[in-house]
Formats: sequence, structure tokens, C-alpha cells
Amino acid sequence: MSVLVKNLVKKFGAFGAVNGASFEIKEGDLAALLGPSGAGKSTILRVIAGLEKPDSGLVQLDGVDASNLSPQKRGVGFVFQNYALFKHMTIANNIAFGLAVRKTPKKETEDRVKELLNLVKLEGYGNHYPSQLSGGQRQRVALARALAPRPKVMLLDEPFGALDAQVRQELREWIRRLHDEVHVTSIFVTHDQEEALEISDRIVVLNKGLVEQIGTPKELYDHPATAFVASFIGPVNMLRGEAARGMATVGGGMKFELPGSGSQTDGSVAVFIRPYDFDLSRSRNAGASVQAKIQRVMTIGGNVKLNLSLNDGHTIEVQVGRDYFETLLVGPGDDVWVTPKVVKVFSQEGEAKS
Amino acid sequence: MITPFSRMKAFAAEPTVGKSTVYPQLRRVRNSGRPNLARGVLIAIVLIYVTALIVVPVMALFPKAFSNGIGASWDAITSINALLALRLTFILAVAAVVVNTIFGIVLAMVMVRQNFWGKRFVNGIIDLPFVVSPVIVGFMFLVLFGRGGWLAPTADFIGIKVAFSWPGMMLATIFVSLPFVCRELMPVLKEMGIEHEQAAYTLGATRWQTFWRVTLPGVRRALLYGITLTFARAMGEFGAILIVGGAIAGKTETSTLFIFRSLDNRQYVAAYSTALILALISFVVLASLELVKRKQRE
Amino acid sequence: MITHTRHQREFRGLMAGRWNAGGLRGVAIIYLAFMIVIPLSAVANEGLKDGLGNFWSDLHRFGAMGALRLTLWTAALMTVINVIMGTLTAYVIVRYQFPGKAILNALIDLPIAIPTLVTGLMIVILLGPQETLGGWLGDHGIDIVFAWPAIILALLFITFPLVVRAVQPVLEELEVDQEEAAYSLGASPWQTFRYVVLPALLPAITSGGLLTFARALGEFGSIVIVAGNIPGKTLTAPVHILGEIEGGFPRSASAMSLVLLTLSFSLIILLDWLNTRRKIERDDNSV
Repeated sequence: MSVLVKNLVKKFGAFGAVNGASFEIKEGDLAALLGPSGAGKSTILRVIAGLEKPDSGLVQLDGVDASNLSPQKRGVGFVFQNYALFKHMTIANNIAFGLAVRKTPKKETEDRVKELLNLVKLEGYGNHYPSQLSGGQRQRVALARALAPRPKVMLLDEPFGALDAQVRQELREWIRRLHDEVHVTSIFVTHDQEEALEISDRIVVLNKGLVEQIGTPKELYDHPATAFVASFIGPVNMLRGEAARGMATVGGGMKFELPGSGSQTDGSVAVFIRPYDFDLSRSRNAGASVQAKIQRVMTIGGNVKLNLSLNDGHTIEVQVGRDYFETLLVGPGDDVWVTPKVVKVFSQEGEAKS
Repeated sequence: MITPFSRMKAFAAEPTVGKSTVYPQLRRVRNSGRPNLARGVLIAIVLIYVTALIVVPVMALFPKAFSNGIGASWDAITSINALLALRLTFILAVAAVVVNTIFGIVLAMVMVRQNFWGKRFVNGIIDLPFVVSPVIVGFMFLVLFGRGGWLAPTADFIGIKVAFSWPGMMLATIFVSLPFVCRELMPVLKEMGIEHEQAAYTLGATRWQTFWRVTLPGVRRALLYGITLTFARAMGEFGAILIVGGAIAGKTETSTLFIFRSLDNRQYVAAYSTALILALISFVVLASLELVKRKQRE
Repeated sequence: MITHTRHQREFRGLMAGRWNAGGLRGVAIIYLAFMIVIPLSAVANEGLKDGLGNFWSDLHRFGAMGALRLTLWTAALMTVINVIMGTLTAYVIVRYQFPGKAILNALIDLPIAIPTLVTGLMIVILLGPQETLGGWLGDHGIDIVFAWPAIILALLFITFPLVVRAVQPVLEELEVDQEEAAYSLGASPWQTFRYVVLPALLPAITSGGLLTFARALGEFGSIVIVAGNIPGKTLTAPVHILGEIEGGFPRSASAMSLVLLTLSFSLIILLDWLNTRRKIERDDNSV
């Protein structure tokens, strides 16, 4: 089932949690709502589920307006951040709940519960209580419970938020595999860009209750539409500077030619460069090459991460191959020359310039 | 153990906070509640019930107390017997507060910090005054100190008259208000743990210094709450002191007993006016409870 | 959790050696013994001193059994009402936002502060046969004051906070998430309440209800004013005890006291057992 959200507005008192967000998730996709705390991700998810009533805007499920449907009638499965398992019920009864309230025949319910316990790899835990399970297991029960009534959309609120790092990683991969197996349209909320990049088909980046960009992980990574997306997704150096006559000048005298020169307005700009989008050499070369002093060298596997200080005091992070770095024969305190290979320039308003 | 009242209402007026949200603006009180009609009906039922059960009867007291004019009410509550009764009420309530605060603290410390055989039984004993009928309370002190009572010889020896006299009333009042301080303190003491006290010891504080400077300040809100409840309960006692004190006007008559006698003598204005005074004191008590509660929440 | 307990145990040992913990405990236990145990034993002794036969016949003196029955059934009926309304009130206060909520929340405590005698007086003023409202109801064949409905009413007033304040904190702890999870799984509001909320509240409701019942058994100040105290009809057990004391039958008064005390004490023990079990469960479930 496809999910369409249009011009959604939701305020809590004076605080605008969602300020006119619009996006569409296609049938069968695993999509992420990504953004920092307070971006309105969870609120949007709760509005889609019908747990929150929007002040204005529209939610369509499969092209049908769902705005006035109660949560019971939307056919969505919701997985809560803290799982919200019914503590007084066994695991089996938790999973059966959605079927029981629909008066599903007993045999059918039992089969479905068994099937789901198998699916989430919790065979034999049917008679346990939630308190007897680990965090990761509870998360899987919450998933099974939401899946039981065969929802057309799965909504997951920070599904890995309450787990420790290792379980998180495992469960993340497992959810992707599960999605490929059951293939139900799923939307999950996260503030962890790595999580979103790793498992989702599409990502909706949210900031201050508005959609910044929608796209596949690759699109977002390679072609961020706004300064916010560029800074939020993946490691990046941000340098502030001025644009004049088709040229941008940033910290340390780095100059970039702006494409389609003349058409852009002059003014302050922000330049984004990924750490591995630099060339490093011992002497000056053509283009935007600029001098910097090595402050710290961190060897991480086959790569070397460098903290460099530019002569205007800015610090940038640069990553190069270890083999290459070792041929340079430099260390902390030495001067090197850096040349950005790929840059993204945004005007102060955050619009892309190149 | 009976849950202490201050515990029962911690955060009572606060909306439930959704754990997933960091912003205070996003506090959730089921605003998702779909069936708005049902919600409205439920709220209405509760409001009507509380109004009919509590508000209306309390309000009815006002016009009645002044039915013969304010002058008559004033005369009634400033009559010598009414004033003596009010004085005795306060003396008994204050005595109960003092005794039960001291022993309440001791009891709470012992129950929280020590383990001993029969602790659960003792725990049950502490709750008994909540549920023993006041009539029985008065009666048992009569039996104990009356003619042929187990402790009558002792009282005679010391030279105090307990039955049909104020010492008996004081004992009864202390009995009925015994659990409050202890019950309010116990959970707070338990929660506070012993780390603070241990820290004080390592800093060289003596037992006594630690108690005064660390333990007691840590539980002062709960203590205040317990004291207020003790006072309210002691002030309102009727059945127990009626029986053990004998309700002799001007001698063993408290305000509640004064009301009772005035009703019997068909002196309604005196009864209603005194009742109003007691109700007003209750409001003050209630207001101070609210105040402590608010502070607690901050 | 385990380390903490061990910690405390060590501390207790330390404390015992360090200062006179036993002395403090001695003070506490002597106080309780003097204030509670000895007086209660005196009553028990008084009631049983002439043997079980006399105890039994005392309980069958005129009006005694009727008084006990009246006390029991009014308390039971009232407990049912209080449990329903108390739970509903707690639910509304915790889950809904509406104007006047803070006042409502404060009003719930009023019965704790008002002397029960005054409570009785207020009910008589409002509903007594000579009063406007009471008179009108009386004309229509509804007698409240000096009849059993007044007993119920007075008890409801006095015990109102007990269920509300027992249920409220548990409901607050119960995350809204659980209810929302039920909704999103297709449960109706009633199904959600019945299968998700109510089971979680049941222990609290039970202990609030038990406390209500126990408190109601002993109530005297308000009932003596509103009930009319007609032997065999509107005279409750505590009022019966008063009558026996004033009539000079202390042994009979003790017999009835003993019955009420046994009931109260059993209820307290039951309550303590329930709460301990609940606490253990909650510790288990804490995430």
C-alpha cells in the first residue's frame, strides 16, 4: 500500500512539530524518516497511524483519504519505541491480540501466532512473559505483534533506539531481510543516518517539521539538495566563505569556480567537501590548492584520517589511503597542500549552487 | 502496606509524558482519543459525581451555619463551651502530632533500615489504626484503664486518671493518627538509600549529626505531609474520644463532641457554625497538602 | 538489584555494631505494643473472658446480628460503587485534559481532611427530611437520611480518595503506548480498556477496594448522625458497640469489637500480601 502525506501541519501548543510536510512512499518500499530530534519524524508517523490528529493536511493510504479513519480502521501495524508490549500477557497472547479483537477463529489465530514466532525466531517463547525477554527479543515480539493482523503498512518508531550497539546492528540487518521476505510497505523513524542509509530503499530527510529531501540513499549522499542534507548525511567538512563574480572563496584562500557563472547572486556561501574528496600532496599544484598544517594523524585500517588546520584557523578532516599517505613521508607539524576534488556549494539560504 | 497518600498523588496533575519525545511541548495526554463523545461523557460523569458527592454537601453547610444571622453564629462559636472545645481539639491534635512525629520517624527508620523477625507482622500492626473502628479505639482504652483494667493500677499508682479524662482522649487521638507520619516517610527513606548517610560517615559526621543534617532534610517534604495528615485526622476524631472521654461539657469535650451535643440539644446554629469552622480548617489543611505536593513536584 | 540488597545487608550489620540499632527497634516495638497490641488484646480478653459460649450469645443479643449484617452489606455495596467510580475518576484525571482538572484533583483529597462527623452533618443538612431537597425526595417516596441510602452516601464520601489514589499512580506508570498499540492492532476503546488497561490496574483496584471495605466496616462518626440508628434496621455494628457500652454491657461490646477487629486485621493482612506480590511483579517487569 502506498502512503501519501500532503501539507501536514501539527502543532503542540506554540511548538510546530510538523510544519507542512509532504512526501510519498511507494508500495513495498522500506523507507526511513530521518532527521534530528524534534524534526517531527515521530509525529508524522503517529499521524499516519491515526494516533495523532493533524491540524491540517492529508494522509492517503493507497490513494484513499484516511484522515478521518480511526487507528483501528487504518490497517497499519505500529511498533513503538519502547515496544509497548502488554506486560500481563504471554508472548503468544501479545501476538494474538490483534487477531483476538477481530474475533478470528481460534485455530487460525494459533497457526498465525506459530508462523510469526517462527518468523521472528522466537519458537518456544510463546508462554514467556515480556519481562523474561531481552531487549532485542522484545523488539521482535513487537514486530510480530504488529504483523499478525496482516497490516498493509508497518510503521516503526525508532525501532533500534533502546538497544545496545551490537544488537542494533544485528536487528537492523534482520529487519531488512524480513522486509524482503514479507514485503509490506514499511516506514521507520530514525535519527541515525547510518541506519537509514544502510537498510532503506528511500529516505525522507526532515528538519524542523519540513521535508528537506526525498531520495534513495545514493541520491542523498551524492546529490544533497540542501546544506542541511549535505551536513546531516555522511561525514563532511563545511567551510564558510564569500561568492563574487562567479567565484567562491573560503577559508585559507581556497577558490572555486561556480558553474554557470554570472547567473548566481553574490553573497555568503557554505562549501561542503567530503573528507575523502581531497587530494593531498607535499607541494602546491594547480586549481584550488591550499596550504595546511597536519595536527593529528589517525590510522584506521587501510585509511588515514588527518586533522589539518588552515591558515585562517579552520580545521578540516581529510581521509586518504594509507599506502598513499605513507609515500608522502609527512607527520604531525608538517605542512601539506590539499586540493578539493568534489565540492558542493550552497548559498546561505541553503539552495544548491553546484 | 497501605500506599501513603503523598505517594498516591505524586505527579497526579501531570499529563503522561510520551517517552519517545524529548520536547516538553510534545507531552501526550491521549489526544488521539477518537471517540470524543465517549470522552466527554466520561468526564461529565466524573464531574457530576464529584460535585454531587462532595461539593454540594460542603456548600450546603454555609447557608445553614448562618441561618439565624451572622451574629447568632458568632455568639454560638464564641460561647465558653465552644471555645473550650476548640482549645481541647487543638491540644489533642498538637499532642498527637508531636508524639506521632517522633515515634513515626523512629518506626520508619526501623522498618526501612532494619531486618528482624516478625517485621511483616509489625508492618501490618502499623496499618491497623487506619481500619479499626473509632468506637473500638475508645472502648479499648476504657477497658484497659477503666475499673479492673490491666493498666488501671499503674495509672492509679502514678496518680493520673485516664478513663473519662483527657489523658485517655489523648491516647485515643494518638492511636487513630499513628500510621500517617511513618507511612509517608517509609517509601521516601527507602528510595533515598543509604549512600548519602554513608558519605556523611566517611566525612566524619556522627550518627546524630548525619540524622539531623542528611537524613531528615532529605525526607522533610514527606514528613510535612505526614504531619499535616496526622493533624487533620486527629482534629476530626469523634467516636474514640466520645467513648473514652465521656464528653463532659467544658472538660472532656472537643469541637466534634460539641457539635454532637449541640445537635442533641437542638442548638442547630451552634452545631452548624462549629462544623463550618472545622470544615474551614480542613480546607486550610487541604491547601497545605496541595502546596507540599506542588513543591514535591518541582 | 542484587548487589544493592547485599550492600544494604552489609550496612545493616555495620550499623548494628556501630550504634544501638537494637535499642531503636526496641523503642519502636514497645511503642507499638503499648499503643496498639495491648489495648486490642484487652478488648479481646474482655470479649472472651467468660468463655466462647457467652461470646456467642453476646453476638446474638437483640440487634447484634442485624447490625453486623447491615454493616457488611452496606460496606460491600458501597465498595462496588466506589471501585467503579474511583477507577473512572482516576482514568479521567490521568488520561484526559479538561478545564477544572486541577480543582477536581484537589477535591478528591477533601474527604481525608474533613471530620467524618461533619460529613454526616452535611448530608443531613442537604437531604434531611426537613430540608428542601430531602423533603422533596421524601414526598416522592425516596428516604435517604435515617435510612440505608444515607449510610452508603456517607461511606462513599469518606472513602472516595482511597480507590482513586490507589489506581492513579499505576495508571500513570502504564504507558499510553500500550493503549495506542491496542488501537493500532484494531481493538475498540472498550476492548482496549477491558483487555489492556483493566488487567494492569486490577491489583491496584483490588487493594483500593479492600481498603475501602475495611475502612467502611469501622465508620462511626458520620453514620451515627445520618443513619437514624433504629435497632434492627439502620443501626450498624459500630453504633451497636456504642449502645452496648452505654447500656453497661462491656462484654457484649467487646464481642462485637472482636468480630470487627478480626475482619479488619484479615483485610490488612490480605492487602499487605497483595501489595508485596504486586511489588515483586513490578520489579520483575521493570525494564
